[in-house]
Amino acid sequence: MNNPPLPACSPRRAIRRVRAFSPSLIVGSFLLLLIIVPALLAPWLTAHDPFTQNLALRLQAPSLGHPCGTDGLGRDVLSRLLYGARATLGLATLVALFMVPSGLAVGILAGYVGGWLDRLLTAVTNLVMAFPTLVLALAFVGVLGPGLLNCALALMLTGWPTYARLARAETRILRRSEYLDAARMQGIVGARLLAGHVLPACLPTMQVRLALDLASIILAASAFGFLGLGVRPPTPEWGAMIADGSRVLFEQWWIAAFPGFLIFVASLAFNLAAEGLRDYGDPRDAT
Amino acid sequence: MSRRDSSTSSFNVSERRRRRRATLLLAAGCLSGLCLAGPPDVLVVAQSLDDITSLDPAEGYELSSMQAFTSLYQRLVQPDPDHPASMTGAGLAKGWQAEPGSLAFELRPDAVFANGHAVRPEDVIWSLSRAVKLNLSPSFILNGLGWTAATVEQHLKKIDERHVRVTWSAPVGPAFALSVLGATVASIIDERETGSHAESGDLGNRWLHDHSAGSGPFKIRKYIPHEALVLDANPLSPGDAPRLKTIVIRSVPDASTRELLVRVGDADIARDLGPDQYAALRDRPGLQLRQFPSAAVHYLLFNTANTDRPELANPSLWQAARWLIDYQGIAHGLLKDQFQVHQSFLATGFRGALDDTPYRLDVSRARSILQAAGLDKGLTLTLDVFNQAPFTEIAQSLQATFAAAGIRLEIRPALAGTVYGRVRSHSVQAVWLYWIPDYFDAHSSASAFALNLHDGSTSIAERAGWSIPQLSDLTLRAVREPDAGRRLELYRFIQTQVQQRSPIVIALQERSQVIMRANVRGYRQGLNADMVYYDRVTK
Amino acid sequence: MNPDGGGALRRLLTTLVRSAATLTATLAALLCVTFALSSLSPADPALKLVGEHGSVASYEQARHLLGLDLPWPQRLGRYAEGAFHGDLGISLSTGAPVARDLRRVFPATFELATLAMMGSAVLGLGLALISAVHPRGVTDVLVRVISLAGNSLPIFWLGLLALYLFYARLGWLGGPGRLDDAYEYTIDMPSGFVLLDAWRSGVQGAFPNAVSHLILPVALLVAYAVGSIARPTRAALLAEAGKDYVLLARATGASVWSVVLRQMLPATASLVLTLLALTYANLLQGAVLVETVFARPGIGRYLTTALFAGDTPAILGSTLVIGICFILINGVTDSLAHLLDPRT
Repeated sequence: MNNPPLPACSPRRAIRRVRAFSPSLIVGSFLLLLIIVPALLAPWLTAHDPFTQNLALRLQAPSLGHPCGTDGLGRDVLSRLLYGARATLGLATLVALFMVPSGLAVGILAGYVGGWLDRLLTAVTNLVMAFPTLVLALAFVGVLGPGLLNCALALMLTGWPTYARLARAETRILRRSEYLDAARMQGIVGARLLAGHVLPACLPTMQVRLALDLASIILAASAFGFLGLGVRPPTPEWGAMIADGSRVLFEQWWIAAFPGFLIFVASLAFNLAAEGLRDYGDPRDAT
Repeated sequence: MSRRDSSTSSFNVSERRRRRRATLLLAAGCLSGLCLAGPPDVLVVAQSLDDITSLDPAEGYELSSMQAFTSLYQRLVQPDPDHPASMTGAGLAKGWQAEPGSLAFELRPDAVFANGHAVRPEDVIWSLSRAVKLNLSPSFILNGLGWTAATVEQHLKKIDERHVRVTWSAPVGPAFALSVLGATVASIIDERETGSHAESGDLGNRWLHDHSAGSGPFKIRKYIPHEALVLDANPLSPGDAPRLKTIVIRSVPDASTRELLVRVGDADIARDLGPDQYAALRDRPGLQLRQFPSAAVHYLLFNTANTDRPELANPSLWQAARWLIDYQGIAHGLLKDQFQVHQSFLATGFRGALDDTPYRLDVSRARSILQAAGLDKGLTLTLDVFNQAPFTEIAQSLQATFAAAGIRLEIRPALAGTVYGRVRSHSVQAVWLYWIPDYFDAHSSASAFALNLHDGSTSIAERAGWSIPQLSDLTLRAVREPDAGRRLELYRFIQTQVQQRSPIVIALQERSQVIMRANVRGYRQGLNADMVYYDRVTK
Repeated sequence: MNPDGGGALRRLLTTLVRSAATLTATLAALLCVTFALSSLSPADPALKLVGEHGSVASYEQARHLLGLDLPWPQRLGRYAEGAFHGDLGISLSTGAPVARDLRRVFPATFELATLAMMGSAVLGLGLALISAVHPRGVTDVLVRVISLAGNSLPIFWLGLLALYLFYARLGWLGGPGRLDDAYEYTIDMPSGFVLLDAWRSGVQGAFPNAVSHLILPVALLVAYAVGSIARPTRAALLAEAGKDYVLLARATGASVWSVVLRQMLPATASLVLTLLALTYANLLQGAVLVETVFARPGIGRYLTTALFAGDTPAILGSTLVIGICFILINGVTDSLAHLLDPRT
């Protein structure tokens, strides 16, 4: 259904009315809850221990006793999925918590202040971005050993430049816009301006990007697992489970399929929620 | 849809594809001017070539490069492909005369390199001495004869146009010397051809990185690092000329991709698949699974010199560990017969190998041993492993069984380089490794597991910090022992000692599995995984 | 008529000089950091050379030969000097000069990444535009899910499944590798770009074969990258849609498509360009998983193997090449963005 033509006299009210029923936000939040709640309640929801091995029952297809089958060591896949959500979502959150604020800070500063600070920050951003993620990740992992934390570190350090660049691009467009002029005329300058006006304007693009990146982070952990550098066994983690499952992909498809499906659902959830929030949050549309 | 249906349909696809490939190959061959003569003469092997650093026999010491050497070069003596424990295969020597400290070889009269040059004693002398002088990874094998860069030339003497004498200073017998000269590092290279490509005193090392100058059944047509090794038949090869015209060894890094290639028929042989993949493929029409005994043994090592965990020095811990490994479960359940249970350092197939397997999983026995030793208060150990299959799987199995006896194992997966580094620097607590003999003699394994000279030289026993002055003496005696029967007895005893008293728990012996198309015949593989013979293969 | 012509030329020159300086400085910094990082790598190339059983003396000799006993600033200096003359050292894991290896592997990745880039730009922008024209409809939902799929599923998993379906079961497309065996080892590849070389070789069937082997990897990379272009562009377009000038244009009777294409899209041009640059850069070095599954040569695989082997010359060489690409892409994007939208 297209946007109905808006009455010229009360755009704000009309827009608010349309947004109140953002289906994206509702569906997205629902899916998120669907994933997060079982993760939190994992110990009470699983019949099996995710670490108990049973070599006699390895690689069993989904059945009543094991609704998602068993993996290469006879462990119950469903339990590992539920417990794995903690590691996976935890990793994604950790990385996001560092990546986005630092990227935003660097990008907004660079874009707004301009001049030598802009050049310096852009040079640093470009330097870090020019780094193949692999080099950094493998260097870390090589020194510190494979593990969730080290993967997170590597991803954090290579992820923030993207946000810096996007924030800078947005800020520069914004710099001479009427929106900021209006604020400046009201006497809002400096940090208050940046935090209160520039930052919220950058957020929509950031949100969309972050939503995509959360899935990428999870998949990066999986790629590390594929290359042999993932979480330490026997920790369950979706990405590692997919990497393990890829070795028996054609016969025992379920080991990689279930975590893959969950990552897809999580990604969908992140993206829908982000877009739903964006519908509420973009201040520029409020003028 | 029944399993048979789907597999038949994929077989039909592969038939269509093979016919199409045949036409293409023919067309390509004619148009590009090269005689590819059609697919029945081309063997395509899918494996990973990422481990090759050099195709110079004096430098290459990785699985894939040594496999290539078996096809590209010949040595004075070689293991017989059909009787791997014996050294009377078709080597360059027609016969030899053994005396204490010396062997006089007679070269085959028809011995000729791939480029037509005759094999002369000068080539033998040059090849062996350059391997010692270059002093790269595999040269330690020749050092075992007491040869050093300074002295090696004195030990190699040309007697006449067809005879060469090889002497050595180390206290070892002629049987040992023959085994050493049968290793790939002792490959005979054409001095004249290689010498003409030598740069600034590198003895041809740079050129031999990607060229061959040998007398083996094949020669290198093209080598693209990490991508492909293309071999052409050498019709002049002494011994039988190969039946195939070309071998293409494609480097395919992912195991699942290799599986697809052999299923479709674009590869005739696929190596290094996972145990579950082999199990799934073995019954497919159009494919055959071949199993070969392999000399690789896997073991759990405790670093008794680790000061953080003095418990590691307690022999009761080692004893308990022997009862805490699920040998059968890992070999037959987890790793689907890619392994067999073997508890001694000489692999089955070696003469004198100890085939007894007295240990099995027995948690209560282990618990009582630990209790008697006062080690049952809960012990945590780190277990270092390579970060790939099947090591991580084995480690997780160990984790579970050791936990049942109250020992917590923290798995630390790492790159191979890191693990070896930690082992060398004695910073591991427990580590799971594997051992492949370097040459075909019991001394190779014995000197690793039962020799600790405390003089800076490394061995597995040294890495475990196992002090064994008497056993070391015995090992040195065994290599000198001229009587074959007595020698075997000595090695049996040494193996028993290592099996029952050492901080090294030997658990499994690998079984090499290879999947190939049903029409591939004549493939042979020896006890060491580098002994791969393509010369009799037909399709 | 441009009375300020001389000033513009001067400005252009200053920009060029400044850009060149930035480029050099960034590359130098990149080299330093990579050097430091690769020396932290656990693999010891000297040990690899002499082997486990080498004596201490030969180990020391190997270290000396490889220059590992020098302090790292000196090593870096030696390397930089060589690099300036085009000598990037000898790779420890292939034994060949690094420059030769890179000549072989980089064009392969470049070809793959560029084709994927073009595909995802067209598809991504197309999807975003469709969404902008039909916001909040079924089409919109479809677009969002499609653009999500490739980005949310592990690419190596998709790759293996795609190979299984299209190569093994159906036999429609070429399998791993860049060409069938029949062509791979008989065709010369002087340029390193398989499409170009197959075309020029004149061998019948080589070019279609190369295309057939490219379809799956490129499709996968497009699926992977399209989301990161389509979604932010869609978000930006939707943000533009609420603006006054859009409402004005619609109110004066302009068609939806004309408003979207002529007014909304250019307004987001700089953002789109930034996205394209980011995606291209990501594809260049992120193609490693696709290269691994499809057994294609590429700089990603080369770098990964080098990292695992502690092959410092190869690591440095690859990082240098990838770094130069990134910097160039960013520089071009910035200039283009500035041209298109002088506000930036």
